[in-house]
Amino acid sequence: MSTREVFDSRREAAAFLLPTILISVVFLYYPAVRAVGLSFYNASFGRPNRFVGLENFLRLVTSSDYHSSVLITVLFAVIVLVGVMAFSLFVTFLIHEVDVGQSVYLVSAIWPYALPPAVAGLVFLFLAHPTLGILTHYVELLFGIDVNWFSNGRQAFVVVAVAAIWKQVGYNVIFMIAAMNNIPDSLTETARLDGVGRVNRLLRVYVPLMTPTLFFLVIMNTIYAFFQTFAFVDLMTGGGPSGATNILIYDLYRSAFQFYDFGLASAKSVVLFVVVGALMYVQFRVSDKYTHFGG
Amino acid sequence: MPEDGDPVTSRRTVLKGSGAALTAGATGLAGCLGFGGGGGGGSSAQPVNEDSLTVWHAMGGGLGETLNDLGSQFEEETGISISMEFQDSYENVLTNFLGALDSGEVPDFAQIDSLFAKQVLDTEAVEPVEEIISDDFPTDDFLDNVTDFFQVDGTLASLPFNNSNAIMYYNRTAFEEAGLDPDSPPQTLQEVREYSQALVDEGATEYGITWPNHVWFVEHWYSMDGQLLFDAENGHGDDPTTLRTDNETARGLYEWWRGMAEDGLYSNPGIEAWGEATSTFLTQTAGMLLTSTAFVAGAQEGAQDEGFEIDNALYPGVSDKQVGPVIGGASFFVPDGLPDDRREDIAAFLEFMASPEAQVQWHKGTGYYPIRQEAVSQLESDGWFEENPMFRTAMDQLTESDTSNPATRRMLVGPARQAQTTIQDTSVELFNGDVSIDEGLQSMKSDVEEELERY
Repeated sequence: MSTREVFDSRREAAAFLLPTILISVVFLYYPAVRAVGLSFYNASFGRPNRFVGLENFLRLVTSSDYHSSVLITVLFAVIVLVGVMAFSLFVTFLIHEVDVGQSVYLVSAIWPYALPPAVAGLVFLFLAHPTLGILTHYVELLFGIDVNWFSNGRQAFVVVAVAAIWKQVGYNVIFMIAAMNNIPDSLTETARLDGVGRVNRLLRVYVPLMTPTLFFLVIMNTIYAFFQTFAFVDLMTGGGPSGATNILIYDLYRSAFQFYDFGLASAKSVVLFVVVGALMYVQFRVSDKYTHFGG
Repeated sequence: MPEDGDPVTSRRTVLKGSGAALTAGATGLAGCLGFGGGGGGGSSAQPVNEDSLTVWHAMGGGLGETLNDLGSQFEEETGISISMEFQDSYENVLTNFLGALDSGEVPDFAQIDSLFAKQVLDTEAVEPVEEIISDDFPTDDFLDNVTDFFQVDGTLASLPFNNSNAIMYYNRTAFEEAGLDPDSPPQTLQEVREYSQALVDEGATEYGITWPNHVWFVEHWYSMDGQLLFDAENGHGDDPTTLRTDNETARGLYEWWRGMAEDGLYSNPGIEAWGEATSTFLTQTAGMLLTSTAFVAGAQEGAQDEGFEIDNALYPGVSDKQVGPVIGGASFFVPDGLPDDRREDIAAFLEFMASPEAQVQWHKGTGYYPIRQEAVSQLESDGWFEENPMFRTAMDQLTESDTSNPATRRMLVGPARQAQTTIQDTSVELFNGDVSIDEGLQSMKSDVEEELERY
């Protein structure tokens, strides 16, 4: 435990922690507590708050729109999480294996991540726009479908999910390539001598050794899928068509900032907090079993 | 191995910590909204800027430039300093203004979209502009259908400024190519369908018609047909309780809309996608466009750049009735409780903006209607409308409207944003064929009723 006690003086330690604690309390914990409080009120602009008890939560429990929003969010998070991880791992492996122009490939894989979410949303909107999009025509030719995601909910869901995956691959590749490069060459050599094929080398040798990084990425990608994909939904679909991409974080935003229903929005944020909190807990429990932390 | 063990636990702790913190952040999002409640201003309103009048507006691009020019002229004429602050969109102006009324620190003017007028009025923290402007100001010179909407209990609550309605634009060149007579554009939805079919069949354009999926267009189809969208005279008589969807107007509209979508004659630009709809028309992907009369200036320029001839025509009706359009656009609201000397400056600006000179300049620069009879007469005697027939059509649509019909007064409902979202979202389900017409209209009606009741 010696590594923990860097500071001899507790007072000194407290002083260094103070700025962090202060900022967290003012900008995070206090608003969070307020949100929980507000969720028991009917609150809007220009009218006094009215205590309604659990009515807001009751509305959420009985609202079929909200149920489908929860379902869509979970489905969306799973698809984005699995999609990002699988695709990134594949790309990382290819970059790791290639001999010529490695850095060029690396930079181009990371590129979308460098775009701010709002810009990425706009870029993708115009790439895939049903009538004006550059890619639309080729997608229609290739898959023989009528690209119509402004009206078709399923297509809209796919387009937003693809955009979300595309944006997050770069972030994952950065971490994965670092983890993969840390794997000793001797292991790769041994695997080669033993005649282990490429796919097996990736899945049986590299992946187990990368688990701490992969676990970290699972957490970050889950948070990303739940919260940071907001910009795509806002810019590309506005939650539509008919709620097909209305993920919880966007639904919450709409209640608060478009409908000024602050009480209901607070209740939604509490629910979201509980859902994601529970998910994190499960992920930690599961990963404790499978994660290889070395040592 | 204890040396390795410790960093491992701390790495895991960090992970746990960051996960928890980020989820807490989401809760914080709603907590930031802690400004609900209180109830606004009263006599305690403080201007956001003591030294200058402040206008919060939503006029971007060329519209914003014309507005800034008017502001500078006002400063020159009166010596009163004024700052025009662009807030990006009507929704932002509304959010910021409601927040300001709650906090008591307010701008002197907020340009509020007529759709959200009721929400602002319900704060009871705004002062009717008729009480601010001087008694000898000719308030009876305003155009009827403009003041009709903006008067509450016979008093002008806010100053109508940029007002428009929806109209149809069409590509004359494409019409000729498809063997259609560009001098007799379609007048009903049925004719729009026939024309669209011809345009697509002849390969003149890919789609027949487009318009942004915005509640305003549905409102127009109702008012053109003399049909009320909400009970209680669209909310002008009393608080409305229901959305009126059980009628031939609604069924006719949505059957047509669905047919157009199914047969690939209608291009859906997306919800509230004004820019995309315009692009679809200007790139000659669609031959007809429904959009605001305030687009006249932009349409002429755009068509010239793209090399086609453009024209406009009256809004096509569900039936052959042409009762009249609803008024859209925005008005200036003034907060209650500002000091008297400041109210004099505010009055000066309101009177300046409503003056025939300012109105003529505003109309020519943008295409929004002049709201004063005198301004219209002046434009007529200058021969403006003869030189600019597209402005003429827009003006005709307004002046020929039957303003005695309550259906031409736009909806005035509290949860307007909710009603708007419901109508737009359900429209997609309806034209996309996800639900039957009757089911869709029924769910649209009951969803809106629920919102009205909750408000």
